[in-house]
Amino acid sequence: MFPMRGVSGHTSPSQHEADLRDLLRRSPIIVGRESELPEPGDFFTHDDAGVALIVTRDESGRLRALRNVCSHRGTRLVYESSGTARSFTCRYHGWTYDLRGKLGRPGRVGLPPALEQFMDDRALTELPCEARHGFLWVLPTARTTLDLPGTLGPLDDQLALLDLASYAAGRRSSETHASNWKHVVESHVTDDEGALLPGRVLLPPNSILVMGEDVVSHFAVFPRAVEESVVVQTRLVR
Amino acid sequence: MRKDRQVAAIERLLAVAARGAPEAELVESSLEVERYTSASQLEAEQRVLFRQLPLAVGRESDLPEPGSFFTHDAAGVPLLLTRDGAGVVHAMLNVCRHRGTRLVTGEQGSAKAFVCRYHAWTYDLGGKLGHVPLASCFPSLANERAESGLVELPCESRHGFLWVVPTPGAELDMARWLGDFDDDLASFGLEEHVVFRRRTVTRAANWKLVMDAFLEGYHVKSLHQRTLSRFFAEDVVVDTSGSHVRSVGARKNLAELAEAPREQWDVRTCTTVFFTLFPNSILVFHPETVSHIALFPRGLGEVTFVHTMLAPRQPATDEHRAALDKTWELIDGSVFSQEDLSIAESIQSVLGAGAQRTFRLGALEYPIRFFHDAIDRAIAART
Repeated sequence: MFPMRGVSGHTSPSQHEADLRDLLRRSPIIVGRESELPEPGDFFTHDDAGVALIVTRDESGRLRALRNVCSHRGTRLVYESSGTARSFTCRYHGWTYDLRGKLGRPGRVGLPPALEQFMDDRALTELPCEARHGFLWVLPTARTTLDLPGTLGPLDDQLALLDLASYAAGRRSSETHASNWKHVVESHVTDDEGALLPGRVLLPPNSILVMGEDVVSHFAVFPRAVEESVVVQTRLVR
Repeated sequence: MRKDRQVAAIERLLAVAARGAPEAELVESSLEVERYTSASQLEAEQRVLFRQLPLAVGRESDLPEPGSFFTHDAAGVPLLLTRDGAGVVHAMLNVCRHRGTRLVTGEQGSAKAFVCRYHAWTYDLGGKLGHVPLASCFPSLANERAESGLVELPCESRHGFLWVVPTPGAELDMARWLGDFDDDLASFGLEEHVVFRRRTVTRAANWKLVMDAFLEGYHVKSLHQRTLSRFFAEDVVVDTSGSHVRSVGARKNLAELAEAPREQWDVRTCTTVFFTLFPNSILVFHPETVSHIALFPRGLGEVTFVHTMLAPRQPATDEHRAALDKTWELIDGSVFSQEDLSIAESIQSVLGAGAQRTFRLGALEYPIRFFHDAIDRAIAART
């Protein structure tokens, strides 16, 4: 289920590329907590997965993960790490997208069909996004579908038993490690013999839960380079 | 610009404004994102554009007197520019012919000769080999002194700029290279202009993303909303000469000034004239001063940006100096640095995310497509 051990496999650039392509781009990745987007218009940006993302809640309350890249000339669209917005405007040429990623100002009505089609063709790329167990999961590949219960398998029941949805997101911190991301994941979940440490839950490919009394620590590990990773720790409290 | 071309450009701008649509030659197009991310593309650009075409590496006034020199490395070739005792300008490779040491380590100065610090081989201001310590150890050198000077490169001074082709023996004829635009540049009196300010910065963007920002005015209302948009309309007329582009963009006062008799029309008062001189120079004619920008790639995602602001003469009063300083701060500090360069970095920062394979270029952005096609033509013709 998860490529553990085998040190040489961790450190070659070609393995690293393959990891990014296969493991991280094709797996649902936890990018935050649902409680971070309580209201329509709330958004946060997420870059650690190597895919510039805006995660937002649209007017209908639906969660959306959008590429944070203007479809015109490829400019980064949103610079803030989080906030509340009615629309997103590119600072280069002023192209404006609504919370669903559609081009045009919110509430536009009565456009000619050809112009409507033009706008639709230039929507922000949307990625599959879903909330489950209180986490926001994004599959960083467009035109795919997300099947969380299927992907999680037995873990889905385990997470349900832990009642993780009832926790609120607390303090978050981020640090950089000078080692391969898979080493970091392993060091969190296994002892020297490779056995799983008590109180740990591994959510492949890159998330770890450390269970405490009333606190759960969520660690998300992201690669930055072959020998550099970022660990984002979020404390979840009841 | 020649007077007849100024009048023609202003008439066309008035027609564009009246019609409310760009001229017919400007059409929608698209651009492949791979042009900014491909290592082989950059390699071809460095090999052809920055080796085989004329690059503006400085101003003739940077070599004010016999013995003046400066070095230039941004093009990826170590250059030494000098003015010899007779006043003639030379461009040479800044490399000792003995064991390949970098000859001159300083950026600029004045010298009588250049002495290599490794074994003290000495060259005169024109690059001719002079004193060689223990010359008796090099019997072969006696007959080969003439070929053992610094490698000289084609160099021409035109419109006050020093143009170098970093390939020995390459052809260089700036008037021919600039074509129709040679007259235009002459009419602005650039040769007599002086350097008011210069700043060199390195920024994290592909060099062509920066070039793109100077090839279209579609972004003025949005990106420059706090700086330039109060002066500019969106209307533009575009002409090309060879691979060079000239854009004349309307200022907001155009219609008003155009009510005056044609003899009084002057592009400097009611438009901004831009040139992109292939492959890597940009000229922007502000009302009084002129910005020259030279771009050099330092890697796929890194560019050296050299901005030189020229003025017809050095300010004679403190008041005039303060006014030019204000222009410099607005143009260099705000418009170029915090807006144009910053937006190029913004694109660069998400290029790797793979959000799209092509960019969409509207009609007003057509000159970008022209520039990138010109790169393709140049590479195809010289490969």
